[in-house]
Amino acid sequence: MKRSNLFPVLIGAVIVVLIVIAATLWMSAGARKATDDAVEKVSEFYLEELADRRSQVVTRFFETEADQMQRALALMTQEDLSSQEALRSFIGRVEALYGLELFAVADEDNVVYTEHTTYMGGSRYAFLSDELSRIRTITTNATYGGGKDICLSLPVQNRVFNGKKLKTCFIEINMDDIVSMLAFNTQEKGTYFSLYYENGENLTGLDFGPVSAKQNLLTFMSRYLTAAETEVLSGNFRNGTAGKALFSFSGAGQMFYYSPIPETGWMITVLIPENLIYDQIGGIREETMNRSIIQISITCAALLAFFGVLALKAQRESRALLEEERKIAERDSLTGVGNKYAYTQKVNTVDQDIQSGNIRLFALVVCDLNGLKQVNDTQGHAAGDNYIRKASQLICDLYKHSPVYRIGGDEFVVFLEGTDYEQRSELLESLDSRMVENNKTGGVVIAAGMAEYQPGDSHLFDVFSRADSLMYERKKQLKNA
Amino acid sequence: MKMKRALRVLAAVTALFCLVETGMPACAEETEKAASAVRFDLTLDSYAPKKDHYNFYFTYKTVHAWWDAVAMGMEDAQRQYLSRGIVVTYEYLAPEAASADDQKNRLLAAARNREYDVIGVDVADETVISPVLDQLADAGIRVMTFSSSDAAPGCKRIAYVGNTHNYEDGADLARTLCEKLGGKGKIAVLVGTKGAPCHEDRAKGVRDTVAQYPNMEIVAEEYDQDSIQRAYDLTMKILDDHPDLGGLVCCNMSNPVGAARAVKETGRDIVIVGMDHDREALRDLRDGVIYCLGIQDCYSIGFDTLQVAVKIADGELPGTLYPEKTEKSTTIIFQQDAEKMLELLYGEF
Repeated sequence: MKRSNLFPVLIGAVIVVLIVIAATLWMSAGARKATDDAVEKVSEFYLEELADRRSQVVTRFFETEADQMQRALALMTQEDLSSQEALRSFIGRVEALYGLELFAVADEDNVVYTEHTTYMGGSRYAFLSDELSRIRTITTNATYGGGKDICLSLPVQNRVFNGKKLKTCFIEINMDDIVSMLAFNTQEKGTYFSLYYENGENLTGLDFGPVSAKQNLLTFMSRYLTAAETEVLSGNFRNGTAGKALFSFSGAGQMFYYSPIPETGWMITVLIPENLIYDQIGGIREETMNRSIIQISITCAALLAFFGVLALKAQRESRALLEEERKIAERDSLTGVGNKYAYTQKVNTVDQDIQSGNIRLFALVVCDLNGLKQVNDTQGHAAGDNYIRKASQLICDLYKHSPVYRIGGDEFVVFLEGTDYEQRSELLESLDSRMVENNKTGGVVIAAGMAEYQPGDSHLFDVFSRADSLMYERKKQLKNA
Repeated sequence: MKMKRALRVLAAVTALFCLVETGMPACAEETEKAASAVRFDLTLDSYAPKKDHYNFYFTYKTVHAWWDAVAMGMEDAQRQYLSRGIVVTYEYLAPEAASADDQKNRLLAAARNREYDVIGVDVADETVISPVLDQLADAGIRVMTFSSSDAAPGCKRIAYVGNTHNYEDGADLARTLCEKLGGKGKIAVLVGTKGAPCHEDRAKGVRDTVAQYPNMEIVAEEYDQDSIQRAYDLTMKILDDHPDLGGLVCCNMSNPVGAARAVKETGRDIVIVGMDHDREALRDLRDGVIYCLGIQDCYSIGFDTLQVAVKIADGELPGTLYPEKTEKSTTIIFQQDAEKMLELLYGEF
């Protein structure tokens, strides 16, 4: 080829190569931007899922509690409540069965009846007003002493006590139970959750990432958002509308998402540093990006596959994380055994099995720790927690084949089936004799009572009541020993 | 300018002196003061109850947040007894509107039941209730008084747990107001329930103290019957009748809330001194609408009432185990203490 002919070809080749390179770079840059957009959308999806999932957990929790209260009211009709003592006894059994801090009923004069006390509730509970006592409410009361009582109340129909119409029943819910259920310990991974009132006041007493528990969230956010964004955020909180905001704190981008929890006036909030999201999803992105750059030079169609792969992997990651958190939500964070939420699920399942006639033989062991208050008072709450852990370990070591639940601060329930059920008497004897020894040596002391399911029992409540009574007898024996 | 600079130097020297003398900044001192005024961490004493179940009846003046705070202490004591295997059950009841006759009927009905180990009462009117308590004591029923109002001197009730210095509280509030007004001016007094010993004693403390200031004059004295709305209405009328009013002494929990609402609405410059820990009143204290508040330790009152009731039920008499009158403190707090008190009492930041 002549030199004069080669030059235009070379020029042409260079031009073609340059065009190909430019086109590839252009498409690559476009793909990178599209990838970033996709990552952002998946991240938003991930945050929304996290918040909405937790919102649903709380909603379901209240539904379950309300359902149990309805069952308690149904049981009430079968009881002889002709005296205050009988009413208190009934309330006590309901509290023990469902692991409730407080179950109470109030009459038309706002006289509140609990297991041990009778008092005036009109100035204490807003839900006893004429208007609110007719509907189901979830209220948070700031109480003298700085505490916050979360109360779930239901209207009561056609029940009379002592000549007065009962108008409302309610339970008090410990915020720690809700915090535990929402698996707030994922904060160790850099993802923060919290609950706030519609006015921005913290509900959990826990710090929310960079926001101290004592700070008002809306006030804090106003320092990092524009006036218009702050207005939108405040409006959404006020109106109970979900939303999101991006802001920069200490030089790092933060993604903030919030979602209302129905009926409560609360917002569940999630905060994740942007770099954490990119760390989590970035690996997938880079791998897929490299493949896509090659594919871009061949065909733009690979781009579509890339989005598919990316979205699929990210969603699998999200699902795996959510599944892991569901397990955490049913686990007591202090001891690792089932928590009250898991226990109430079990109660519901067993009650359904009893009703359908598919129930297998089982027994319940109700355990209560002696001396926890003294350990807390004299050695501090860390020692008290350790005391609870030791007790839990002891119960688990003994009942190796049975699920164990922590249903209150110092109360456990063991559900015996199969091998443990067959050896139930020996196991209980072993526990009791060890407790006699511990009572002398200053070790962990557990009062336990056991009862078996018997034909004619219509609810787990019946078995629980018998076991609880025996546990109480045992508790007195151990104290007197 | 020179004057301002001199004042700044003086303020700095004073702050430094305060720090050197006390070892802590003045604001920390105020925080301590707020924190020591109320307690929520009491534990039962070492007394070993003789029974494993007690049943009590308590009645008080009227349904009101102040007595809800007392109830918190009672409930905590009840829980602590339960953790020791001792079941304490009780009724804690009151009418919607204060009434000595209603209280008398409640006490007699409770006595007829004969199922209570001890009957306790926050006396609504000592002239009406003291004879009833004597009658119950003569019938062998164990009776005690608690909260803010004791029975008349000589009454046969076994013991009293609560504020034993209502007169002094009234005097302290009046003195603080008089000093704030420079020892001259017209003031009005709002009282709670007519006949209630605690309210009457505070009002007397106010009158006696103001009388020591020759240029101070009490131009009005009214009873709100423990109603915030009535306190507001009365204050509006007083402000209308006395355009030159300088201050208000409020002798109960509802008084300062209603008074502050009226003062805010009218925009008048009135120094309000009052009692108790109502959340709205504490916010008004924080915002400078109220000058000072006398804070009673309600939780401790409730907690010790239950402890003393158990001992009385066991047949123990006042002496080494418990005094015939269990003294409870009142602390006067000012604007700088308000935020800490709101945090302590209501978790409000």
